[in-house]
Amino acid sequence: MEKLLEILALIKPGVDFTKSDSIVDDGILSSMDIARLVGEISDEFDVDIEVTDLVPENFNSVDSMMKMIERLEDED
Amino acid sequence: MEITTLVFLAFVGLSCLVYYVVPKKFQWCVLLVSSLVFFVSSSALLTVYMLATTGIVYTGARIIQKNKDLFIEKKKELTKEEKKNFKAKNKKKQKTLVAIFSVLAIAILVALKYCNFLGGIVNSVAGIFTLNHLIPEFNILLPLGISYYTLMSVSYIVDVYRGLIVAEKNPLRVLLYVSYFPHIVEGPFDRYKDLDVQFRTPHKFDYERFTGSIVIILFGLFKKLVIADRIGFIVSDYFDNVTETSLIGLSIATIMYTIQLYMDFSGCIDIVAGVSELFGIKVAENFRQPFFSKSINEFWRRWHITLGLWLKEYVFYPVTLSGHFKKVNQFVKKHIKNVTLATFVPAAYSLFFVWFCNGLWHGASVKFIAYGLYYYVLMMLGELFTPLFNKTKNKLHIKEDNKLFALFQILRTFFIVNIGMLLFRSVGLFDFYSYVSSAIFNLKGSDLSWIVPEHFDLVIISLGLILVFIISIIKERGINIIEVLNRRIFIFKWIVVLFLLFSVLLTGAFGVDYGEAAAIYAQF
Repeated sequence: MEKLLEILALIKPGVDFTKSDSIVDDGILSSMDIARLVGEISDEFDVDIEVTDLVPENFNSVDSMMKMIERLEDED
Repeated sequence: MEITTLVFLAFVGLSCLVYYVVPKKFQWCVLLVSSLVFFVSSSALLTVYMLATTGIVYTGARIIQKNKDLFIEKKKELTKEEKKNFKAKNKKKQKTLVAIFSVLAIAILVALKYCNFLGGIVNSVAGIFTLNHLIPEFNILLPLGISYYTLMSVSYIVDVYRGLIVAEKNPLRVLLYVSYFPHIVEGPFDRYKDLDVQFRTPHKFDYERFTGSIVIILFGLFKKLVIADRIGFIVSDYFDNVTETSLIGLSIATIMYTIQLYMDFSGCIDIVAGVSELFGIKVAENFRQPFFSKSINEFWRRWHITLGLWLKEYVFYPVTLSGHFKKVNQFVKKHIKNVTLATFVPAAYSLFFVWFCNGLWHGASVKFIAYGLYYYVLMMLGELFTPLFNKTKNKLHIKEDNKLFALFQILRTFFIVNIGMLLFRSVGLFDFYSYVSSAIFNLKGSDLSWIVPEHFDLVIISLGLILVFIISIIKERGINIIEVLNRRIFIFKWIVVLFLLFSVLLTGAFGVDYGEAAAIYAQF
């Protein structure tokens, strides 16, 4: 979780991501941010994110991002 | 068959009549026959290209689906390790298949639309080595909506590959999706999963929906025929005849062109959406009051929405998730120590392809590529300087909800969009340069006479724009005008219908003085 929060802080400084459960729906993360985030997550957690994973439900909260990462780690 | 003509409206009326008369399970067949009649009437023998594209994606999707089914069937018999290996092998095969069939579908588009452009590049390079006209210029006729149906076809096969939809067994259903006549002329880019479910639903005749659709169609006709075409003649007069521009003249002409393009494109999309609604089929939203945008990013989320979504789904995401992107990411991290910049560069790299394709989709020319990259450069600069902008904003104590600042942002976006539109309107990059340089250095203002409209035109255009502006504000506040009309007594809706009908008939740019103006985006 901490590693993910560090990545998020790097991409969008000054935002408390733990308080939101509609990060994408509220436009806090743009497509550009998602691209940066995907690059960082793939690199840091060594997981393969698929296009079908790029849905708002997987990125709307820190918890949902973590769940997605854990699922992808299990698949690997 | 232009979508603003009586012939088209009569064709729609006849299709509608048959659609609601036949048994409901055959309604999709009526749409298919209507779509093919419409396509053949516009493209004649060129229809074979559309059929070929449909055949390619249909076959490709079926083969991919068979591979998917095979994996599901076989995985029960395999051990965990075997399953993993088989999955990887199967996935690789599917990836190769989707790439081959997508490339085949796109190859037809490239061969027809971009061959002269590519030939021109080869000739320019050959010219350096004194090899003149190595590749001859071909006079190629394009089938109706080739750029639209090709991209929609690709989205179909890719969605099957991604497992978002199951490949359709009946080729005629895929053909209906590809050739569906309301969206074939100038979009929007619909997704198969959104349309197919509606094609399969039986549709009863619904009086409220029917009259609501007529209001949408008439409003689209109003925007196209009363405003866009009327402005179009003034704008064409200016850009075709003025040799020396002035800053004021060029600014007015460019703003008028921006308004013309918006009224033309969004008006035609309204007609298309309204026609489709007559059959009970909702097409994707393509415009959401784009000129209320506070940034370029927001503008592109509101203007030609479905093109942006297509590029995001089928260019941006695949590039971002590719192995190549990972390598770029790792390379950048190794060589750029600034962490912010190290995450910015790979993302900027994948967005480059999106904007390059956006420009190229609009046309086979350097000008259109420059048009796409113009927005790309501005967005990247905006992204890089966001921390600085935020710091300045805080220093000046400007709050997020400051209305004056919001107005400044809207005007700034409008200004940037207008420069883009001038580039879009110019014949080539050199013309764009000539317009701008002449406008900056010519202080005489001799070009103003070209853009002073007739008194009658001025009144009609102004009143029309006020009406569209008021409706845009209402929509921006989240109010669905058609629902509001439905809640009123029926006479109120008919007053609106008659008002729009007579406005179009009495003030539309028809007749010998005007001729017939084709929809601007139909050329793509």
